[in-house]
Amino acid sequence: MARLLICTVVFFLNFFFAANAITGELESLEKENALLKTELKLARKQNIYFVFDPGKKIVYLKAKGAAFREFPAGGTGFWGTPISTEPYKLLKRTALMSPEREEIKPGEKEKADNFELQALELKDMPRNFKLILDEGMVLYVRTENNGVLPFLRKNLFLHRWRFLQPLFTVWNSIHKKPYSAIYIMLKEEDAKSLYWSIYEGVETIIYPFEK
Amino acid sequence: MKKNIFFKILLISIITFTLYYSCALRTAAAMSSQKTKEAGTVSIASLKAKNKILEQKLKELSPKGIYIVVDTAKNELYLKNGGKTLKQAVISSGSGNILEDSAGKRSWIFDTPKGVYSVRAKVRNPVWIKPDWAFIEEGEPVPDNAKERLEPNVLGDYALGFGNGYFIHGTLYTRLLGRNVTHGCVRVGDEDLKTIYKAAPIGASIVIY
Repeated sequence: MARLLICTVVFFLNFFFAANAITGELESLEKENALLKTELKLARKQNIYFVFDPGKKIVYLKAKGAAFREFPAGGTGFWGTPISTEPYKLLKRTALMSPEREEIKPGEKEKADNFELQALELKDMPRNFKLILDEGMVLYVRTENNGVLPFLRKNLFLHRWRFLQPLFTVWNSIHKKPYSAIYIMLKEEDAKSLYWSIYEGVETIIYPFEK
Repeated sequence: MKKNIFFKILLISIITFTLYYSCALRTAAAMSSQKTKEAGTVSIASLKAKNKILEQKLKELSPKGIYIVVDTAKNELYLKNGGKTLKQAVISSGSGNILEDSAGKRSWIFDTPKGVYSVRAKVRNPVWIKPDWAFIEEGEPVPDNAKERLEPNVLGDYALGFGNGYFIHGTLYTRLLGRNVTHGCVRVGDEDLKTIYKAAPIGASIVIY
Protein backbone atom coordinates (compact mmCIF):
# COMPACT_ATOMS: atom_id res chain seq x y z
CA MET A 1 0.00 0.00 0.00
CA ALA A 2 2.85 2.36 0.89
CA ARG A 3 4.45 1.72 -2.51
CA LEU A 4 1.20 2.40 -4.24
CA LEU A 5 0.91 5.64 -2.32
CA ILE A 6 4.44 6.75 -3.29
CA CYS A 7 3.78 5.90 -6.94
CA THR A 8 0.53 7.82 -6.87
CA VAL A 9 2.15 10.83 -5.19
CA VAL A 10 4.93 10.86 -7.80
CA PHE A 11 2.41 10.48 -10.61
CA PHE A 12 0.17 13.27 -9.37
CA LEU A 13 3.08 15.56 -8.59
CA ASN A 14 4.13 15.13 -12.20
CA PHE A 15 0.58 15.77 -13.26
CA PHE A 16 0.42 18.84 -11.02
CA PHE A 17 3.63 20.36 -12.40
CA ALA A 18 2.57 19.50 -15.93
CA ALA A 19 -0.74 21.28 -15.33
CA ASN A 20 1.18 24.30 -14.04
CA ALA A 21 3.44 24.29 -17.05
CA ILE A 22 0.45 24.07 -19.38
CA THR A 23 -1.20 26.98 -17.59
CA GLY A 24 1.99 29.02 -17.84
CA GLU A 25 2.34 28.28 -21.53
CA LEU A 26 -1.31 29.07 -22.12
CA GLU A 27 -0.95 32.39 -20.32
CA SER A 28 2.19 33.31 -22.23
CA LEU A 29 0.56 32.38 -25.55
CA GLU A 30 -2.50 34.47 -24.67
CA LYS A 31 -0.27 37.45 -23.90
CA GLU A 32 1.61 36.94 -27.13
CA ASN A 33 -1.71 36.79 -28.94
CA ALA A 34 -2.89 40.04 -27.39
CA LEU A 35 0.43 41.76 -28.17
CA LEU A 36 0.38 40.56 -31.77
CA LYS A 37 -3.15 41.90 -32.17
CA THR A 38 -2.03 45.24 -30.75
CA GLU A 39 0.93 45.37 -33.09
CA LEU A 40 -1.26 44.50 -36.05
CA LYS A 41 -3.40 47.55 -35.20
CA LEU A 42 -0.31 49.79 -35.09
CA ALA A 43 1.21 48.27 -38.22
CA ARG A 44 -1.92 49.10 -40.20
CA LYS A 45 -1.33 52.79 -39.52
CA GLN A 46 1.06 54.99 -41.49
CA ASN A 47 3.08 55.86 -38.39
CA ILE A 48 6.27 54.54 -36.92
CA TYR A 49 6.11 52.92 -33.49
CA PHE A 50 8.54 51.34 -31.10
CA VAL A 51 8.52 48.06 -29.28
CA PHE A 52 10.48 47.20 -26.17
CA ASP A 53 11.09 43.55 -25.51
CA PRO A 54 12.69 43.19 -22.06
CA GLY A 55 13.19 39.46 -22.59
CA LYS A 56 15.47 40.09 -25.55
CA LYS A 57 16.58 43.47 -24.13
CA ILE A 58 16.00 45.22 -27.44
CA VAL A 59 14.12 48.35 -28.45
CA TYR A 60 12.80 48.05 -31.99
CA LEU A 61 11.89 51.01 -34.15
CA LYS A 62 9.18 49.70 -36.40
CA ALA A 63 6.73 50.57 -39.12
CA LYS A 64 4.32 48.30 -40.98
CA GLY A 65 5.31 45.37 -38.79
CA ALA A 66 8.97 45.52 -39.85
CA ALA A 67 11.85 46.56 -37.62
CA PHE A 68 14.02 49.26 -39.19
CA ARG A 69 16.35 49.85 -36.27
CA GLU A 70 17.26 47.85 -33.21
CA PHE A 71 18.77 49.29 -30.05
CA PRO A 72 20.18 46.62 -27.74
CA ALA A 73 19.81 47.44 -24.05
CA GLY A 74 22.63 46.80 -21.61
CA GLY A 75 20.33 46.65 -18.62
CA THR A 76 16.70 47.13 -17.77
CA GLY A 77 14.39 47.18 -14.77
CA PHE A 78 10.72 47.48 -13.96
CA TRP A 79 8.56 48.67 -11.08
CA GLY A 80 4.84 49.11 -10.80
CA THR A 81 1.54 47.75 -11.99
CA PRO A 82 1.53 45.04 -14.67
CA ILE A 83 2.24 46.20 -18.20
CA SER A 84 -0.74 46.45 -20.49
CA THR A 85 -0.93 44.59 -23.77
CA GLU A 86 -2.58 47.68 -25.27
CA PRO A 87 -0.35 50.31 -26.89
CA TYR A 88 0.98 53.22 -24.84
CA LYS A 89 1.07 56.68 -26.34
CA LEU A 90 4.05 58.98 -25.85
CA LEU A 91 2.82 62.14 -24.14
CA LYS A 92 6.11 63.90 -23.54
CA ARG A 93 9.88 63.56 -23.86
CA THR A 94 11.78 65.27 -21.08
CA ALA A 95 15.47 65.73 -20.46
CA LEU A 96 17.66 67.88 -18.26
CA MET A 97 19.06 69.54 -21.38
CA SER A 98 16.30 69.29 -23.98
CA PRO A 99 17.39 70.28 -27.50
CA GLU A 100 16.16 73.69 -28.60
CA ARG A 101 15.06 74.54 -32.11
CA GLU A 102 16.75 77.50 -33.79
CA GLU A 103 14.53 80.28 -34.98
CA ILE A 104 15.31 81.60 -38.44
CA LYS A 105 15.43 85.37 -38.66
CA PRO A 106 13.90 86.36 -42.01
CA GLY A 107 16.37 88.01 -44.38
CA GLU A 108 19.41 86.98 -42.36
CA LYS A 109 20.08 83.75 -44.20
CA GLU A 110 23.81 83.33 -44.53
CA LYS A 111 25.41 82.88 -47.89
CA ALA A 112 26.57 79.41 -48.88
CA ASP A 113 30.24 80.44 -48.72
CA ASN A 114 30.30 81.31 -45.04
CA PHE A 115 27.58 78.90 -44.13
CA GLU A 116 27.47 77.99 -40.49
CA LEU A 117 25.05 75.21 -39.78
CA GLN A 118 22.31 76.05 -37.32
CA ALA A 119 20.18 72.98 -37.06
CA LEU A 120 19.09 70.20 -34.80
CA GLU A 121 21.29 67.20 -35.31
CA LEU A 122 21.73 63.83 -33.67
CA LYS A 123 24.64 65.10 -31.55
CA ASP A 124 22.31 67.69 -29.96
CA MET A 125 19.98 65.01 -28.62
CA PRO A 126 20.12 64.14 -24.91
CA ARG A 127 21.86 61.03 -23.66
CA ASN A 128 19.59 60.58 -20.65
CA PHE A 129 15.91 61.28 -20.88
CA LYS A 130 12.47 60.30 -19.71
CA LEU A 131 9.56 59.25 -21.89
CA ILE A 132 6.21 59.92 -20.26
CA LEU A 133 3.61 57.61 -21.71
CA ASP A 134 -0.10 57.45 -20.96
CA GLU A 135 -1.58 55.08 -18.35
CA GLY A 136 1.05 56.21 -15.85
CA MET A 137 3.94 54.56 -17.66
CA VAL A 138 7.34 56.23 -17.45
CA LEU A 139 10.32 55.04 -19.44
CA TYR A 140 13.78 56.16 -18.32
CA VAL A 141 16.46 55.94 -20.98
CA ARG A 142 20.02 56.05 -19.65
CA THR A 143 23.34 55.69 -21.41
CA GLU A 144 26.20 53.42 -20.58
CA ASN A 145 29.53 55.16 -20.99
CA ASN A 146 33.05 54.54 -19.86
CA GLY A 147 34.63 56.98 -17.42
CA VAL A 148 34.31 57.96 -13.80
CA LEU A 149 31.55 60.52 -14.15
CA PRO A 150 29.21 58.37 -16.27
CA PHE A 151 29.87 55.48 -13.88
CA LEU A 152 28.88 57.64 -10.90
CA ARG A 153 25.85 59.01 -12.73
CA LYS A 154 24.71 55.52 -13.66
CA ASN A 155 25.10 54.24 -10.10
CA LEU A 156 23.35 57.24 -8.65
CA PHE A 157 20.44 56.55 -10.97
CA LEU A 158 20.38 52.85 -10.07
CA HIS A 159 20.39 53.64 -6.35
CA ARG A 160 17.56 56.11 -6.82
CA TRP A 161 15.80 53.47 -8.85
CA ARG A 162 16.11 50.83 -6.14
CA PHE A 163 15.08 53.06 -3.26
CA LEU A 164 12.66 55.58 -4.69
CA GLN A 165 10.77 53.59 -7.29
CA PRO A 166 9.26 51.16 -4.74
CA LEU A 167 8.04 54.19 -2.79
CA PHE A 168 6.48 55.74 -5.89
CA THR A 169 4.86 52.42 -6.69
CA VAL A 170 3.34 52.10 -3.21
CA TRP A 171 2.32 55.78 -3.13
CA ASN A 172 0.53 55.55 -6.47
CA SER A 173 -1.03 52.23 -5.52
CA ILE A 174 -2.47 53.80 -2.33
CA HIS A 175 -3.87 56.65 -4.39
CA LYS A 176 -5.17 54.15 -6.96
CA LYS A 177 -3.23 55.78 -9.75
CA PRO A 178 -1.72 53.59 -12.45
CA TYR A 179 2.05 53.79 -12.25
CA SER A 180 4.77 51.78 -13.89
CA ALA A 181 8.38 52.68 -14.49
CA ILE A 182 10.96 51.05 -16.70
CA TYR A 183 14.58 51.91 -17.22
CA ILE A 184 16.62 50.99 -20.26
CA MET A 185 20.40 51.35 -20.54
CA LEU A 186 21.43 52.07 -24.11
CA LYS A 187 24.61 53.01 -25.92
CA GLU A 188 24.99 56.76 -26.31
CA GLU A 189 24.32 56.86 -30.05
CA ASP A 190 21.34 54.54 -29.72
CA ALA A 191 19.81 56.63 -26.93
CA LYS A 192 20.21 59.78 -29.02
CA SER A 193 18.80 58.03 -32.10
CA LEU A 194 15.78 56.84 -30.14
CA TYR A 195 15.12 60.37 -28.85
CA TRP A 196 15.51 61.69 -32.39
CA SER A 197 13.22 59.18 -34.06
CA ILE A 198 10.24 59.28 -31.75
CA TYR A 199 7.89 62.15 -31.21
CA GLU A 200 4.90 63.05 -29.09
CA GLY A 201 1.93 60.90 -30.07
CA VAL A 202 4.01 57.96 -31.21
CA GLU A 203 2.71 54.63 -29.92
CA THR A 204 4.63 51.87 -28.26
CA ILE A 205 4.24 48.27 -27.23
CA ILE A 206 6.02 47.00 -24.16
CA TYR A 207 6.36 43.29 -23.73
CA PRO A 208 5.84 41.99 -20.19
CA PHE A 209 8.80 41.48 -17.90
CA GLU A 210 9.15 37.79 -17.15
CA LYS A 211 9.17 36.84 -13.49
CA MET B 1 -6.86 -2.41 8.54
CA LYS B 2 -6.96 1.12 9.96
CA LYS B 3 -3.67 1.84 8.25
CA ASN B 4 -5.13 0.79 4.90
CA ILE B 5 -8.14 3.06 5.30
CA PHE B 6 -5.86 5.94 6.20
CA PHE B 7 -3.74 5.37 3.07
CA LYS B 8 -6.87 5.11 0.90
CA ILE B 9 -8.23 8.39 2.26
CA LEU B 10 -4.83 10.03 1.77
CA LEU B 11 -4.66 8.72 -1.79
CA ILE B 12 -8.13 9.98 -2.66
CA SER B 13 -7.31 13.34 -1.05
CA ILE B 14 -4.14 13.73 -3.10
CA ILE B 15 -5.94 12.84 -6.33
CA THR B 16 -8.83 15.18 -5.57
CA PHE B 17 -6.57 18.03 -4.50
CA THR B 18 -4.30 17.74 -7.53
CA LEU B 19 -7.20 17.55 -9.94
CA TYR B 20 -8.96 20.44 -8.24
CA TYR B 21 -5.84 22.59 -8.10
CA SER B 22 -4.86 22.06 -11.71
CA CYS B 23 -8.44 22.73 -12.83
CA ALA B 24 -8.53 25.90 -10.71
CA LEU B 25 -5.26 27.11 -12.18
CA ARG B 26 -6.49 26.54 -15.69
CA THR B 27 -9.76 28.31 -14.95
CA ALA B 28 -7.98 31.29 -13.38
CA ALA B 29 -5.70 31.63 -16.37
CA ALA B 30 -8.62 31.35 -18.72
CA MET B 31 -10.69 33.87 -16.77
CA SER B 32 -7.86 36.39 -16.72
CA SER B 33 -7.67 36.41 -20.47
CA GLN B 34 -10.19 38.04 -22.73
CA LYS B 35 -9.79 35.22 -25.16
CA THR B 36 -11.92 32.79 -23.24
CA LYS B 37 -14.84 35.16 -23.52
CA GLU B 38 -14.97 34.30 -27.21
CA ALA B 39 -15.03 30.58 -26.75
CA GLY B 40 -14.44 28.05 -24.07
CA THR B 41 -12.19 26.01 -26.30
CA VAL B 42 -8.87 27.85 -26.08
CA SER B 43 -6.16 25.32 -26.37
CA ILE B 44 -2.42 25.69 -26.70
CA ALA B 45 -2.52 24.31 -30.21
CA SER B 46 -5.24 26.71 -31.37
CA LEU B 47 -3.47 29.69 -29.77
CA LYS B 48 -0.20 28.76 -31.43
CA ALA B 49 -2.01 28.54 -34.75
CA LYS B 50 -3.72 31.89 -34.18
CA ASN B 51 -0.41 33.54 -33.28
CA LYS B 52 1.20 32.13 -36.43
CA ILE B 53 -1.62 33.67 -38.48
CA LEU B 54 -1.15 37.03 -36.76
CA GLU B 55 2.61 36.91 -37.38
CA GLN B 56 1.90 36.14 -41.03
CA LYS B 57 -0.52 39.08 -41.24
CA LEU B 58 2.16 41.36 -39.77
CA LYS B 59 4.67 40.12 -42.33
CA GLU B 60 2.21 40.81 -45.13
CA LEU B 61 1.97 44.46 -44.05
CA SER B 62 5.71 45.07 -44.40
CA PRO B 63 6.81 46.92 -47.58
CA LYS B 64 6.97 44.76 -50.69
CA GLY B 65 9.17 45.05 -53.75
CA ILE B 66 11.38 48.12 -54.08
CA TYR B 67 11.04 50.61 -51.26
CA ILE B 68 12.98 53.46 -49.69
CA VAL B 69 14.04 53.85 -46.07
CA VAL B 70 15.23 57.23 -44.81
CA ASP B 71 17.11 57.43 -41.51
CA THR B 72 17.05 61.14 -40.66
CA ALA B 73 19.19 60.61 -37.55
CA LYS B 74 22.08 59.16 -39.55
CA ASN B 75 21.19 61.11 -42.70
CA GLU B 76 21.21 57.96 -44.75
CA LEU B 77 18.86 56.57 -47.37
CA TYR B 78 18.50 52.91 -48.21
CA LEU B 79 17.00 51.65 -51.43
CA LYS B 80 15.70 48.21 -50.56
CA ASN B 81 14.11 45.18 -52.09
CA GLY B 82 12.71 43.00 -49.32
CA GLY B 83 15.51 42.51 -46.83
CA LYS B 84 18.23 43.35 -49.36
CA THR B 85 19.80 46.82 -49.52
CA LEU B 86 20.36 47.76 -53.15
CA LYS B 87 21.80 51.20 -52.50
CA GLN B 88 22.92 53.20 -49.49
CA ALA B 89 23.19 56.96 -49.93
CA VAL B 90 24.19 59.92 -47.78
CA ILE B 91 21.45 62.51 -47.65
CA SER B 92 20.48 65.82 -46.07
CA SER B 93 17.23 66.01 -44.16
CA GLY B 94 15.24 68.63 -42.25
CA SER B 95 17.03 71.20 -40.08
CA GLY B 96 14.33 71.32 -37.44
CA ASN B 97 14.49 75.12 -37.49
CA ILE B 98 11.48 77.36 -36.98
CA LEU B 99 10.40 80.23 -39.20
CA GLU B 100 7.69 82.74 -38.35
CA ASP B 101 6.39 85.29 -40.78
CA SER B 102 6.57 88.91 -39.69
CA ALA B 103 2.79 89.11 -39.40
CA GLY B 104 3.10 86.30 -36.88
CA LYS B 105 0.14 84.48 -38.31
CA ARG B 106 2.02 81.54 -39.73
CA SER B 107 4.98 79.48 -38.67
CA TRP B 108 6.87 76.54 -40.12
CA ILE B 109 8.97 73.82 -38.56
CA PHE B 110 11.45 72.43 -41.04
CA ASP B 111 11.37 68.77 -40.08
CA THR B 112 11.41 65.86 -42.49
CA PRO B 113 8.09 64.17 -41.74
CA LYS B 114 8.39 60.77 -40.09
CA GLY B 115 6.12 57.89 -40.99
CA VAL B 116 5.18 55.72 -43.95
CA TYR B 117 4.65 57.41 -47.30
CA SER B 118 4.74 56.39 -50.94
CA VAL B 119 6.20 57.75 -54.16
CA ARG B 120 3.38 59.83 -55.58
CA ALA B 121 5.16 61.60 -58.40
CA LYS B 122 8.34 61.21 -60.42
CA VAL B 123 9.66 64.28 -62.18
CA ARG B 124 12.61 64.74 -64.55
CA ASN B 125 14.31 68.13 -64.52
CA PRO B 126 12.08 69.38 -61.73
CA VAL B 127 11.39 73.07 -61.29
CA TRP B 128 11.03 74.30 -57.73
CA ILE B 129 7.80 76.17 -57.12
CA LYS B 130 8.91 78.31 -54.22
CA PRO B 131 6.43 78.24 -51.37
CA ASP B 132 5.64 81.29 -49.22
CA TRP B 133 8.21 80.38 -46.56
CA ALA B 134 11.05 80.56 -49.10
CA PHE B 135 10.30 84.25 -49.69
CA ILE B 136 9.67 85.01 -46.04
CA GLU B 137 12.94 83.34 -45.06
CA GLU B 138 14.80 85.55 -47.53
CA GLY B 139 12.95 88.62 -46.29
CA GLU B 140 11.29 89.15 -49.64
CA PRO B 141 7.62 89.84 -50.35
CA VAL B 142 5.53 86.85 -51.36
CA PRO B 143 4.71 87.30 -55.08
CA ASP B 144 1.18 87.22 -56.45
CA ASN B 145 2.36 86.04 -59.83
CA ALA B 146 2.87 82.27 -59.92
CA LYS B 147 5.63 82.62 -62.52
CA GLU B 148 7.80 84.45 -60.02
CA ARG B 149 7.76 81.35 -57.84
CA LEU B 150 9.43 79.13 -60.42
CA GLU B 151 13.08 78.32 -59.83
CA PRO B 152 14.69 75.78 -62.18
CA ASN B 153 18.02 73.98 -61.71
CA VAL B 154 18.02 73.79 -57.92
CA LEU B 155 16.43 70.39 -57.34
CA GLY B 156 18.82 68.32 -59.44
CA ASP B 157 17.87 66.14 -62.40
CA TYR B 158 15.13 64.13 -60.73
CA ALA B 159 12.57 64.42 -57.96
CA LEU B 160 10.32 61.90 -56.27
CA GLY B 161 7.34 63.49 -54.54
CA PHE B 162 5.86 61.87 -51.46
CA GLY B 163 3.07 64.32 -50.62
CA ASN B 164 2.47 67.71 -49.01
CA GLY B 165 5.19 69.32 -51.11
CA TYR B 166 7.95 67.02 -49.86
CA PHE B 167 10.40 65.54 -52.35
CA ILE B 168 13.46 63.37 -52.56
CA HIS B 169 15.57 65.47 -54.91
CA GLY B 170 19.09 66.49 -55.91
CA THR B 171 21.18 69.31 -54.52
CA LEU B 172 23.70 71.96 -55.45
CA TYR B 173 25.17 71.78 -51.94
CA THR B 174 26.75 68.33 -52.08
CA ARG B 175 29.24 69.27 -49.34
CA LEU B 176 26.30 69.50 -46.95
CA LEU B 177 25.20 65.93 -47.57
CA GLY B 178 25.14 64.12 -44.25
CA ARG B 179 23.94 67.24 -42.40
CA ASN B 180 20.51 68.47 -41.39
CA VAL B 181 20.02 71.50 -43.58
CA THR B 182 16.82 71.15 -45.58
CA HIS B 183 13.34 72.54 -45.14
CA GLY B 184 11.95 69.01 -44.86
CA CYS B 185 12.80 67.53 -48.25
CA VAL B 186 15.38 64.78 -48.62
CA ARG B 187 18.43 65.85 -50.66
CA VAL B 188 20.49 63.18 -52.37
CA GLY B 189 23.69 63.29 -54.47
CA ASP B 190 23.27 63.16 -58.27
CA GLU B 191 24.42 59.59 -58.94
CA ASP B 192 22.50 58.10 -56.01
CA LEU B 193 19.41 60.05 -57.03
CA LYS B 194 19.58 58.66 -60.55
CA THR B 195 19.65 55.09 -59.23
CA ILE B 196 16.79 55.74 -56.82
CA TYR B 197 14.70 57.48 -59.49
CA LYS B 198 15.14 54.61 -61.94
CA ALA B 199 14.48 51.86 -59.40
CA ALA B 200 11.56 53.19 -57.35
CA PRO B 201 8.21 53.03 -59.13
CA ILE B 202 5.19 55.19 -58.35
CA GLY B 203 3.56 53.70 -55.28
CA ALA B 204 6.82 52.43 -53.77
CA SER B 205 6.81 52.78 -49.99
CA ILE B 206 8.98 55.37 -48.27
CA VAL B 207 9.63 54.78 -44.57
CA ILE B 208 11.07 57.79 -42.77
CA TYR B 209 12.24 57.75 -39.17
